[in-house]
Amino acid sequence: MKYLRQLLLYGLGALVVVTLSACGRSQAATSTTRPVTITFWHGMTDQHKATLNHLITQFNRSQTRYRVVGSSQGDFASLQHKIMAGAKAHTLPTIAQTAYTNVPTYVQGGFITPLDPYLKPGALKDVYPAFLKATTYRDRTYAFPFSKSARILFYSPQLLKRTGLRVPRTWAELSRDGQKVHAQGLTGVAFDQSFMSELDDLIAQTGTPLISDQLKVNANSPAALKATHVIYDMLQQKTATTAGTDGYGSTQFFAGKTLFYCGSSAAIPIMQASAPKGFRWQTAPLPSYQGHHATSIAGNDLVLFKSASPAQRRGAAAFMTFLLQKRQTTYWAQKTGYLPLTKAAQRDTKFQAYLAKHPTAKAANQSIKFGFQDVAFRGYPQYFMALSQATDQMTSQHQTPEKAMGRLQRQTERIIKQNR
Amino acid sequence: MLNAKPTLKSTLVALLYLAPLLLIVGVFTLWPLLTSFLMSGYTHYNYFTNHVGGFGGANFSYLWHDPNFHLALRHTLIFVLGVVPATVILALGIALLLNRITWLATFFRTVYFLPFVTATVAISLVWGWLLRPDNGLINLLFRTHIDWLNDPRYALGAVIMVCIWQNLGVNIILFLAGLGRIDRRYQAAATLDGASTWQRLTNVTWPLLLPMTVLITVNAIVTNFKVFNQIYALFHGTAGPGNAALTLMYYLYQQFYVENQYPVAAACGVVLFALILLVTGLAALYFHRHAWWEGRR
Amino acid sequence: MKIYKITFIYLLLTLGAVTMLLPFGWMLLTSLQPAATTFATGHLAIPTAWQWVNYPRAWHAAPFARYCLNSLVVTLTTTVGQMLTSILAAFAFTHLRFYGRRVLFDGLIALMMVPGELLLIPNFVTMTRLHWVDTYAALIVPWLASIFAMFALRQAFTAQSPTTYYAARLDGASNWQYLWQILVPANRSTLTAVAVLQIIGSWNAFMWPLIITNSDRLRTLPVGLMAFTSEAGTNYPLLMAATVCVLLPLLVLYLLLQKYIIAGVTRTNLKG
Repeated sequence: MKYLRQLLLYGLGALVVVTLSACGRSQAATSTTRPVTITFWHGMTDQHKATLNHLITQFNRSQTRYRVVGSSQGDFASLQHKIMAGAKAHTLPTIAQTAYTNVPTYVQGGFITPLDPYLKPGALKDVYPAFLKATTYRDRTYAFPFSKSARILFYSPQLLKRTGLRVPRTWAELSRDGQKVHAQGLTGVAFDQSFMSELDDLIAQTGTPLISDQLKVNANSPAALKATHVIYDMLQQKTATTAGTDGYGSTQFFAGKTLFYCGSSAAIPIMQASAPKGFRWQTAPLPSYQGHHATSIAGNDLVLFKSASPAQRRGAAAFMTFLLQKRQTTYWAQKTGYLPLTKAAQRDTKFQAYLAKHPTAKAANQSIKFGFQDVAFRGYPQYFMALSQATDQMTSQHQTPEKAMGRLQRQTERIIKQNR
Repeated sequence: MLNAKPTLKSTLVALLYLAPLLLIVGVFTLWPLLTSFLMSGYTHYNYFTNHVGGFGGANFSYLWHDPNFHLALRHTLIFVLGVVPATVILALGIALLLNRITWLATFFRTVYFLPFVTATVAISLVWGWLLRPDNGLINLLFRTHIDWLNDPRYALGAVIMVCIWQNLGVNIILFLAGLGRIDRRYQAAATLDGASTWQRLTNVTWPLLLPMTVLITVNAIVTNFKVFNQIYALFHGTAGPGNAALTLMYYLYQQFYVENQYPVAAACGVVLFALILLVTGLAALYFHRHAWWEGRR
Repeated sequence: MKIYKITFIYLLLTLGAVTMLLPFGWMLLTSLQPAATTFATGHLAIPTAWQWVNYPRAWHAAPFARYCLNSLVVTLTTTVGQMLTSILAAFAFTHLRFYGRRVLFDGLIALMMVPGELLLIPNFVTMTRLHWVDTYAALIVPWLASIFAMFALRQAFTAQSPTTYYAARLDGASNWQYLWQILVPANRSTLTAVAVLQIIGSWNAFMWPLIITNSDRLRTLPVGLMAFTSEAGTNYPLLMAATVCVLLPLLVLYLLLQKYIIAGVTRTNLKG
């Protein structure tokens, strides 16, 4: 009798499980009818997600062969987890948003496919060189530029007026300004949690980037060390600060005791939403160093996975090309604050009118001319961690650039060697 | 019956009772554990194509030579030592007090439960503000100007503080449940015998509460060895200034999800597992010696 | 008890209660701040304008109604399932005799120590093989057993006086009857406490539901909280408003259940 009851209980449990899984599956199976479905994982939330959904709907209405289904996977860290799990279990979508620096890892994993066969020749012709270089890895196009932003300088015009200063053109000027206002209890410049990007910029401005296209590491050359000292010395003199656990230097900038803030242009919308009442701020391109301008471009790209069918691949390329059209890329740029990707978009009269109306967006757009992106290589994620650790040690443990950058040089050389 | 010798039949019956749990645990815990143990020995491994280049101890020797791993190991041990005894003792004390009051009892019990239902992200944010150097409440309280979260000397201490506080809720509930099932007649009898509060505590409550204390201690050790979320949220996605709050779990996360060094992460998982096993084993041994592990029988 | 003793106890408890309440209160206040408030200072700011509109706004930022339903289904089924499997196993470990009992128990306790992050992707692969990705089954089945719950119940069952068991068995009760009619009701406090903990764990689970589902149709509340975080920062007032909404049901549940946690034994004694 008691066994019977136990059996019944187990049976019931099994039944629940089977029904639930059956329900899930039957619903998933019905959605594949005539148009080819392109699944698209992205990391956009809130307003950006709505903007992207609008573009997706436009594409779906513009033709009948393909249907793009976008799904937000939370922030970029969760999106990365999803892609990793999907790659391992062979359940990847057709396309996904990811950073081009992941491409080498994906190629090694064998789950990503080049876009070249599906793009019309010259499809990327009008794209800015700053974005273009990152699209290729080993002479093939893997990453399609999508949501790109530039590092820029935020400043408070009131504070500049009060201190009698102007927007600095060079890093030397910037650090002098910091010293000038130090006595008045003001800080010169606030960085984000890490000053990695600014360091990357400074070293690139010496003429040799931190890592060259031939994967030569340039972390502790005399020129690189001198460039590192620009920021390090400011931090030591307390004319510059990093955001620490605030994450973003904007918190400190908004407190009104900081002249400048080096941040991402992607932060403009959220800064507009969260600036204190009456606090006015403007933007400018980052200062130059040794007569050179170089601003690192950050952001994400679109990639196509190998598991996609030929029809899906063609559809994915059609969708990407659609996003690059003048109308779409300018719409995207205006709504999100990301950069328009083509020269045609930049020349567009409507976009120029938009910039005239929204002067804070100008700085990032001016920076595209001298924008650059890191070279992607296998082991880049490890190098990235090493770089972030080096800057952190200079910040919180006051390690000298000679020591921190020396270690970074050795670590990076080892990483590159191991991943050759 | 309880003292009978096991037979084939009694074993089969017991297996019927155990089957559902064992099935789920076997498929979703034991199996993946075995695969990741295996992975910790892979060299030149391609995680996605599953191509194994070789088998050996290279990943463990990587850990052995990685200063960050040493840092993580040290921090984890300090962290567990800092959190576990404090949280268990505090929770016991608070539970005993909560168990004695009647007026506003529901209110107090709910309040002490709050940190546990508050999302970690929210807690970390709030503590982030409490720990600020300028006008942070903690600094106002201690009359200090410490930048708790951005100074490598204090960062781990700050995490310990937050975790003790957050762990209290669970442990208080468990202690309350343990106290709740102690027969009040024992207490009454002891009171009639003229036992003082302290005597009732040590001679009646404490022995009866032992099984629950064992559970709480073991659980606290296990969960705190695996601390990750609080650190990730408190330090805005980093392991603290100068890696001051880098723990083994954080190291594992970094290796796996950020640096894509899957076998190294698996090796770290093995070390972490062995370490927890060792420490809980020691605790269990201690409990065994005092016959607490098996209860009163 | 002497009056000063009582006062002292309340004083201590109040002191502790303030530290427990502070972050929660802060959360509530932040959820009512206008978005334009920055957190440059550490002050506990009283909102100048109470933004009740944050709540509906947060609610509409993601399909929270659907998430809520999913969270309910998943939490209820996993908790009931966990309690059932744990009760059965704990009973076997405490009241049945079988070969390898000690080894099996110690082995299970050892499995408690497995870091969950290590299991995430292997389990995802298993789910793919079972064709369970993006189904309720994937959200529920892996969590139908909890070693912690089993351990907790086993500790409670161990502390049960064996004389009741012998008496019941002599009266002709089967193991099954003893378990459900005597042992389980007698351990109501531990059962409730463990259930509450499991409910909270399941309700707040984030990583697994995100990994295993691809669409809004099956996502749960904590995944919805991602809607307020972006590359460039977080909308804290809205995030806090949504978080409060997510947590409130748990608080209510605890309020309803806590009397069972506290007064487990006195009640059963009245019956016996």
